[in-house]
Amino acid sequence: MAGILLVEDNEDLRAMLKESLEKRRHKITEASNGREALNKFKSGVTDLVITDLLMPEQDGIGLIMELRKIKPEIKLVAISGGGKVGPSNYLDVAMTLGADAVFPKPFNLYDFIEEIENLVDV
Amino acid sequence: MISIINDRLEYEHVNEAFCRNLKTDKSEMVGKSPSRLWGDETYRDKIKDNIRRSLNGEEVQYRAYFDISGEGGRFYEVTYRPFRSDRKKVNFAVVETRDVSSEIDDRLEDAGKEEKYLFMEKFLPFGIFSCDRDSVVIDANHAFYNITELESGKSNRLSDLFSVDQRFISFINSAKHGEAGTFGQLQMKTGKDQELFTRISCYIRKSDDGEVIVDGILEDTTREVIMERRLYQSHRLETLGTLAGGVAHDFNTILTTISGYSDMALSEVEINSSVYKYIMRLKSAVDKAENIINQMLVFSKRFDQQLVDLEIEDVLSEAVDFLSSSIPENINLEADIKPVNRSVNADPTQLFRVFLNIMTNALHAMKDQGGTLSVCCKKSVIDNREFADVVIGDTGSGIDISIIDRIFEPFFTTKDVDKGTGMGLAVAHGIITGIGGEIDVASAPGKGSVFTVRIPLQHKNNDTSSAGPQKNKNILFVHSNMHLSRTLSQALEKMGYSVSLLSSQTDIESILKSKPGEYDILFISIDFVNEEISRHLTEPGTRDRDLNVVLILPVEGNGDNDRLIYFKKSGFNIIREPLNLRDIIKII
Repeated sequence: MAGILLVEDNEDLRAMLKESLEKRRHKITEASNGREALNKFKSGVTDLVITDLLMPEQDGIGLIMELRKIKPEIKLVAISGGGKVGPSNYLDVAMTLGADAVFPKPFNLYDFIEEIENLVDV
Repeated sequence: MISIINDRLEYEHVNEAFCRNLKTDKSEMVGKSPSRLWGDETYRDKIKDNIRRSLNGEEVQYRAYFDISGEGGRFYEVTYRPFRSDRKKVNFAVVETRDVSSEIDDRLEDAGKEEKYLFMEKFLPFGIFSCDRDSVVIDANHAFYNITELESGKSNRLSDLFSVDQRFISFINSAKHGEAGTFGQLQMKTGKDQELFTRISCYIRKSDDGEVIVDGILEDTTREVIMERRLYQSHRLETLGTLAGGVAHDFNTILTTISGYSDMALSEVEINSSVYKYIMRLKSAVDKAENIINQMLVFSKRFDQQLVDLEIEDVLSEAVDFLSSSIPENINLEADIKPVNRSVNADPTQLFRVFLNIMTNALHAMKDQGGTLSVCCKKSVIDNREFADVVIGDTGSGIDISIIDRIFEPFFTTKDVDKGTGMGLAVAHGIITGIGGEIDVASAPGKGSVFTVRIPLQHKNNDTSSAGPQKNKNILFVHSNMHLSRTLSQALEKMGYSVSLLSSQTDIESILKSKPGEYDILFISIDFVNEEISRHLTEPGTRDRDLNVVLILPVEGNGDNDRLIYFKKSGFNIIREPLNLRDIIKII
C-alpha cells in the first residue's frame, strides 16, 4: 500500500484512476492542478505523485520541478495527452526533469498500475 | 541584344549585350528555355506564340513592358526573324530585343492627353473592350486578346469565358444605361481553356442608334489572387493545427478514461459473456479513435519526428517500389528518380508515408479512366536556398478550383464515406512543414494534378546569408512558419525586395552580429526574441542604427505588456498576426 497523490484536471479520468488504484489498496489524494497538489503534498504522506502535464494554474512541469526540490527522492509519474514545449515533447521534458516514468494518453490501465507498483515497491 | 532560339524552343545563342543587359551569363542561357529568364507566365503570355510564329516563317515585331531584374520595368521592342540554316525549313528564330524605354519616355513627355491614353491602351496590361448586351465583343485592344486568348476578328462572346462565375454576364444582361460595376476575383476560362482570375470594371452607355454598349477594363489578377489565397490558407492551416492539437490533447484524456473503465469492467465479467464482447468492441473503438488523434497530432506538428540525414531519392524509390505491385494495368508509371547528391534532414518513415499518400491519391484520381503516374526528383534553388523537389503528377480527374484551397485541411475528403479519413494530405502537410519544407499542388480539372514536395537540402556549410548587396531594401524575415514566410517572401520579391528567411534561433544572433548593415528591415516573430536577441536589438551601440525592427505578435495574447512597451520605446514597429501583404508593405 502506498500514499499516492493524483494530479489531473480531468475529473472523469481522475475518478477512474482513483478507483482503480484504490482497488489495489493504495491511499489516494486528489488534486486538480499543480498549486493544489503542492499544498496537499506538504500536508500529507506521499510515496508517489502521478501528474498530468497540461493543467490550469500551475502545470505539471512546474510541479515536477518544485517536488524535486522539496523531496528529491519522491517517485514521479507523468501522464500527457500530447503537446510540446518549443520543439520538445512535454513527456520528454518531464523525463529530462526527472520523472521516473511517463505515459502518453491513452495508456493501458494495467501496464500503468504495474509500473506504479514497481516504483513504490523499490 | 541578339538571341537565337532553336526549334526545340531553347536558346541556341545569346550575345554579350544580351547577357550584360539582362544580368545573365551565356553558359546559363544556352540550351535553356526562355522561361528560365523571363518567367513561366511571361513566356506563356508574351513569348512562346511569337517564337512559334517566327519558326513558321513569319516575321513578328511587338513592343512590350517587361520587369525582369526586379528594378522596375522597361519597354522593349522585340523582333523575331525566321532563319533557315539549311534551305528546307526554318529552324531558328533570330530575336532582336531593343530597349525603347527612353524613346517612349521622350515621346510621351511631349504628347497630348489623347496620345497618352492611346499609348496606355496599347501597352499597359489592361484589356480594354466594348461589347453589346449579349456580351459579343465589338472592339478590344491587344492586351484584351492576350489575356482572353481569343482571336481578334472573330465573333467572340464573353459569356463563353465566364460560364462558371456569372456575375458580370448577368449584370450586363439586366443593366441600364448609366450603370457601372466592378467584379473582383472573377473566374474566367480563356479561349484556350486556361483558368484565370480576373477583375472587370465596366460602364453601360448607349450607342448613337440607341443600342446598349458595355465599355470595360479587364485585368488578369490570377497572381494576386493566388498569393492572397496561399497566405490565407497558410494562416488557416496554422489555426486549424492549433485547434486540432488542443482537441487531440483533450480527447486522449477522455479516451484514457473510457479505456480504463473498460479494462476495469473486463476484469469483473465472464470472458464468454456478451458483456465481455461488448466491452472489447468499446476498446477497439478507442484504438481507432487513438489512431485518428495521432494523425491530428502529426498535422498540428505536436509530434516528434525522428530526424536523420537521408537521401530523399532512396525514400522515394522505396515508396515507388512498394506501390508498384499494386498499380492497376490501366495506369502507366513513369519514374525519373535521379540522385540529388545532397542529404535532407527528415524522418524516413514519415517521408515514406507522405510519398505513398500522394501517390495513392494520384492512383485513385485515375482509377476509372487510367492514365500516367509520373514521379520525379530534382534539385531546385530559390532565393539562394537549395531544395530537393519531389514532383508527383497524375493525369486523372484533377481537383476542382473551388476546393483546391482546402485539400490540406484535416478531415477534408472527396472520397466516399468510409473510403478515406481525409487525414492523408493534412498529415503530409504537418510532416513536411514540420521540417521546414513545403507541399504544394497545381491542378486542372479533367487533366490531372501535380504535387510538389519541397524539402530544404542540408547546408554544405553554415552559410545562410543571401545574395550580395542589392539596390533595393534587404529584409530579414524570422518566423517559425516557413510556409507563411515563403509565401510572403515570394510576394515581396516580386515587388523587388530582397528577402532572406530564417527559422532558427542561433542563426539570427550570428547573422545580426556578423553582418551589420546587411539588412534594412528585420521582421521577427516575438517567439524568437530571447534575452540575448532582445539585448542586441535594443541596447545602444550593439544594434545597427539603420536596422528597422518589426515585431510580429501572435493572433492572440502578447505575454508581457511591460516588455512590449519597452520594445515600442526602443523604436520597434509591432504587427499582429494574421499577417497580410498590405500591412507589411505599408510598414516597409
